[in-house]
Amino acid sequence: MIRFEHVEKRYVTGRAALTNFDLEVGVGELVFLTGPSGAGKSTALKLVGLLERPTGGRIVVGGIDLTQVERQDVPAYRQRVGMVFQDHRLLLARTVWDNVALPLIVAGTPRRELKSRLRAALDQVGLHGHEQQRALELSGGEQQRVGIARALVAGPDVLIADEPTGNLDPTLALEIMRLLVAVAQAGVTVLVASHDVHLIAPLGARRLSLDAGRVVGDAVG
Amino acid sequence: MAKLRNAAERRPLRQRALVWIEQHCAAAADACGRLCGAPLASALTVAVIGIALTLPATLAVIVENTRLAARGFDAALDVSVYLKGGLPEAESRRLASRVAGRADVQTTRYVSPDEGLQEFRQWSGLGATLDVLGGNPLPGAIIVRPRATASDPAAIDRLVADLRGLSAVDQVQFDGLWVRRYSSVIDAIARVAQILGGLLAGAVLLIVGNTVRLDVAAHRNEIEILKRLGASDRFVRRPFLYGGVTYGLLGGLVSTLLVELLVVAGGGPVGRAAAAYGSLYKVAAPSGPLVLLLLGGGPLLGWLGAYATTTRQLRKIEPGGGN
Ligand SMILES: Nc1ncnc2c1ncn2[C@@H]1O[C@H](COP(=O)(O)OP(=O)(O)O)[C@@H](O)[C@H]1O
Ligand SMILES: [Mg+2]
Repeated sequence: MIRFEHVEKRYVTGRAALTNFDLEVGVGELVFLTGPSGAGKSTALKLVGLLERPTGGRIVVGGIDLTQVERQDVPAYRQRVGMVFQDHRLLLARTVWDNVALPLIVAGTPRRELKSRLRAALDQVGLHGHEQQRALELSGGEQQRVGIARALVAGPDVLIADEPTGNLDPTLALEIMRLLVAVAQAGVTVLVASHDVHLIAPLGARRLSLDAGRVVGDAVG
Repeated sequence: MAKLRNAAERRPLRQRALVWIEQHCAAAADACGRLCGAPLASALTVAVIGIALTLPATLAVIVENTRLAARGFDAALDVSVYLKGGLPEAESRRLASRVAGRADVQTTRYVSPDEGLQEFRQWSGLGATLDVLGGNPLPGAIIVRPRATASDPAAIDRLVADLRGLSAVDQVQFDGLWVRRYSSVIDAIARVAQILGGLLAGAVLLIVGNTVRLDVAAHRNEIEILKRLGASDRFVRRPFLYGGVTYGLLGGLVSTLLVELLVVAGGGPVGRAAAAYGSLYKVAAPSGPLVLLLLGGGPLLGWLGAYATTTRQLRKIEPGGGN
C-alpha cells in the first residue's frame, strides 16, 4: 500500500531529515515509527500526506507515485488520506459534527449523505451523542477521538497519525492507540509516529525505529 | 500512474450540481457570518468603497445633466440657409423637404422672402420705413434644425458643410462657437470623471484586497486545516470571494444612495437658478446605466480584489509546517 524507495528529504534549511529511507507497508498493516525527537518521523508522515515533497527517491501510495502528482491534483490526493495530528487541529469553536463533516464537505459530498457517514465515524471512535458539543468543550482524549473520526469519515485507504497521544495521559493514550489498532484491523493502512516506546510495546505491532533520518530497526512487538 | 479523481468527480452530474449549489450557499453564509462578525470593520470598508465610488459617479451625474440641459437649447442650434436670389419658390420648398429627409436633420422650415420681410419688420421695429425699399431685397431661406445636440458639434459641422455645398445655397449661417465651448467643457468633465473612475476603481481593488488579506490572515489556522483535509484553493477561496462581492455590492449601494442624496440636495438650488433664467430645467436623477454601473461594477471590483488577494495569500499558506 505504501512504498518508500531510497527516499531522501532535505529541507531548504539544515541537514537531511531522511536519508536513503526504504519502507514497505501492506494493506491493513499498522506500523509505528519510533525514534528520538528529530529522527525524521514527522517528515516521513508528511511525505505520505503530500504535505512535503521528497528531494530524492520515490514514494508510491495505493499505486500513485507521489513524485508525479501535480500541484492541482494534491487536494484530490489528500482527500484519500486520513490525517491525525498531535494537537488534533480541530476547529475549536465549531461542533463535533461540523469538524467531522469537514472532509466530506471538502470532497463534495451531498448534505443528505452526511448524516449516515458521520454516525458511522462517530460510532467507530465511541463519540456517539456528542455531535452538537463544541470541540473546545471536550476533554483532550475526546478531542483526539474527534480528530480520528474526522480522519476516517471519508473512508481513506491510508491513515497517518503524528504523535496522536503526545498531549494525553497514559491511560487515554493507550485507549487512542488501541483505537488505531482497531482501525487497521478494519482494513485501513495505518502509519503512526510516536516517540513513546513504552506505550507501543504492549500493542505487539510492527515498529520501525528511526535515528537521524535513517532506519535503525524494523521489528514486530 | 492511477488517475487522481476525487470522490466528487465520480458522482453523477445531478449530484455534483446539487453539491455545487450547497457549497455556494455555505460559502455565502460563511461570508455573511464573517462580515457580521466584525460589523464595525465591515461597515468601514463598505463606507470607504461607497465614498470612493461616489466621487466619479457624481461627476458622471453632472455630465449627464449638462448634456440634458443642452437639449433645451435646440433652437439655438438652428442653421439658417439663405438661398440664391431668384430661386423659384416651388424649387425652394422642394429643397427644404429634401434637406428634411436627411438622417441628421430633425425638421426644416421654409421662409419665403415675403415671410422673411414680415418677420424682419416685426422684430426690427422699422415697420413702414422698409416700404421705401420698393422691392423685397431678402432671399428665401430654410431654417434647419439638426438632430444632433450641443454635445456633438462635429456632426453639426458636417451638416453645415454639406448645406454650403448645395448649388442653390448662397450662404449658411451657424453660430457654433458657444456650442463648441459648452461641449468641450462637458467633455473635459466627462474625461475627468472617467480618469477618476479608473483611479478610484483601483482604490476599491486595494481596499477590498487589504480587507480580504486581513480576513485570510485571521483564518489562517482554519485554512491550513482545510488544505490538509484536501480542500482545493477554489474551495478555500470561495467564501472570501463572496465576502469581496458583498463589500463591493454594499459599497455600490452606498454610493448610489449618496449620489441620489446629492441630486436631491443640489437639485433645489439648481432648479431655482434655472427658474430665474426662465427655464423649466430640473436636475435629473442618475440614469439607469449609471446606477447599474455602480451596482454591477462594485461587486465586480470586490470579486477581482478578493480573487487577486486570496490567490496570492493562499499560495503562502502551505500546510507543511508544524507537526
Ligand atoms: N519545515 C522544516 N524546515 C526545516 N527543517 C525541518 C522542518 N521540519 C523538520 N525539520 C528538521 O528535520 C529533522 C527531522 O524532523 P522531524 O521529521 O520533525 O522529526 P521527528 O518528528 O522525528 O521529531 C529535524 O532535524 C528537524 O529540525
Ligand atoms: Mg515529530
